[in-house]
Amino acid sequence: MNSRSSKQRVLPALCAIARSLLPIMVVLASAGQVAAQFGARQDIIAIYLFNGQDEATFRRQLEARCALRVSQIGEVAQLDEATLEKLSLAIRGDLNRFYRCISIVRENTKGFDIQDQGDMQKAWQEIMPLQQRISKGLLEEDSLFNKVLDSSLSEIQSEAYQQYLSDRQDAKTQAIVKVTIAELDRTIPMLAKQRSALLESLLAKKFPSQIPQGYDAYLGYIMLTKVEKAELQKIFDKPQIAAIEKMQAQYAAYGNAVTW
Amino acid sequence: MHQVTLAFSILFCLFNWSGLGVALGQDDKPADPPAEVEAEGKAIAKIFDDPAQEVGAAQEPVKKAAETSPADKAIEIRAEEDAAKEKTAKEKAEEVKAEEDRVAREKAVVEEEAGGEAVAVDAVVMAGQVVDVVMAAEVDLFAANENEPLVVVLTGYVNTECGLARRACELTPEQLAALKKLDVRWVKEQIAKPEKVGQVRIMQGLGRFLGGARLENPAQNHNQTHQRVCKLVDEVIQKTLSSEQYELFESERAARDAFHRDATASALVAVYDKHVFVKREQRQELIEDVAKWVKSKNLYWQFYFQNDAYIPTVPNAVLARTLSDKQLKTLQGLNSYSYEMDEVQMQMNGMRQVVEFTDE
Repeated sequence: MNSRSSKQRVLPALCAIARSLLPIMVVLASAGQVAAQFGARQDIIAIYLFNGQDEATFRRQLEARCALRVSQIGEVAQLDEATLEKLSLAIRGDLNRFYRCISIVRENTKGFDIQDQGDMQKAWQEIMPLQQRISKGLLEEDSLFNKVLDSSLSEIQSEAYQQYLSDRQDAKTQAIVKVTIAELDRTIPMLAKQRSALLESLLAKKFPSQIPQGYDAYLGYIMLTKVEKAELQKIFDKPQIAAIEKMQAQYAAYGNAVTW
Repeated sequence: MHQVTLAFSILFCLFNWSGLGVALGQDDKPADPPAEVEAEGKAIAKIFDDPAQEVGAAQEPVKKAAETSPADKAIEIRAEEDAAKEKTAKEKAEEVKAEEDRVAREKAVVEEEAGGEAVAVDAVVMAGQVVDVVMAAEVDLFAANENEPLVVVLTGYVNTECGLARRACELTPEQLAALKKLDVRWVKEQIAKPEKVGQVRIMQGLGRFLGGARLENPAQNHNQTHQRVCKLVDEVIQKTLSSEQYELFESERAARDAFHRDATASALVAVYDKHVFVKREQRQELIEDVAKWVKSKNLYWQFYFQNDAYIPTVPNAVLARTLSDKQLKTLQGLNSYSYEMDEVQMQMNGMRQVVEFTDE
């Protein structure tokens, strides 16, 4: 029974990893094919980090995205020109720091052959931290931009900005919960009133304060594990509850990965 | 195609005819029985003559054999043996069926006791054992693909649609019985019976050289079979329900579709938001526009939350109604990709966790 319960904990995690790796494997495989067509000495960083584009295009996109962010903050928090200029400089600093890291990785992966599995694995070890930084957001947490922003905004401006961020987060959370219910509805048939009741019940619960990278997509199921049986009995019939309970068992371990 | 078959048949006949010719050329007289048949006949006659060797059930056929020629006797004995063998095969098949039922019962008990993923894996292992036995006995080929992804996906569709009908309408026992017929076995039968779809494929290569030109109603791929069986399920439900009931069922289906569209669009806008910082006043408008465009009912939306460099394949024209030029520009160069959940299920060959729902 112990081994079975440990299987119950481990298998969802393994399946989740396999699910998230499948598209990446498809992408890497296709990247490898594309790269093979252009010769063995093609830029490994372009394959893994720039989505197959050249560095100049990648930089242009990154800079456009950062500029858009500054302009949105300017609108939300009603910032003056001087503050906007300061933020732009801070972004330039963050970007330059990132570009320096790319140069170091480029140096470390010099001469690697993209048709050599060993070389590609070594290269991925070097590039992975940069990939994670991009996924996390170059302008988040310990960035120069964030520090300058914190010190530049007045209390009212800061409130307006925090409200904007909170609205964004709420919209994302609600979307994930809704789409999770829609997905659940494909397996467990629900009437419209049952769907609404479940949505209301999930959104009324306390959400995690921090969700690790990659766990966003499971937020709806994590919240589902927080619905008590008594609550389920008010909304659903027996066969529906039996299926939902199986689902709760599958995702029980995911709740341990987030901070409540 | 017929021409190819004809060509092979002619070749086959020529080959056999040459063998026949050799046999006929040996002698025009009827062939003597082979030595082993004659020996067998003698042995049987000896048994009949020797009372000490008479044994229970074998006695009657042996007696009959002794009254005819040795070759006939041998043929009759063979027929008896074949019948006995056939009987044994039937018994074996029954044993296999009993074993299959036992494993199914065990599986149900274990599932009931523990539930969850680990049990599902155990059940797959058990089912694997059953399949081996059944395949060896050639009793029930349908049982071989119990866990085939297409069967799982389609059974899920049947259970969900019938489940919705049961909840949306008050069904009579006859209607319930009619819906109950749409079980796993029915799904497998429908998969195995491709409908005539009026397709014609032109044969290429060697086949064409040998005269084959057209292949009518070629085998359907998974996607076509999926659509065909789903349509059949819908037809059976429509036939089973009364018109008032079907109206109720359809209204629930419409509400479900609207919810799914809105949910999918909200998730996709959340993905865009990460890249383009959607403004408050833009969000709802963008969700409505994307919801009108969403065709997929089962999009693998999690993909975009796990792979930042990818965005959904919403046409620029749809986005351009709400997003500014600056926002659209930041989307340029990102890869767009759409992936259906059913495709994931098929490609992962059943590895994906599926909670099976049933009203039974």
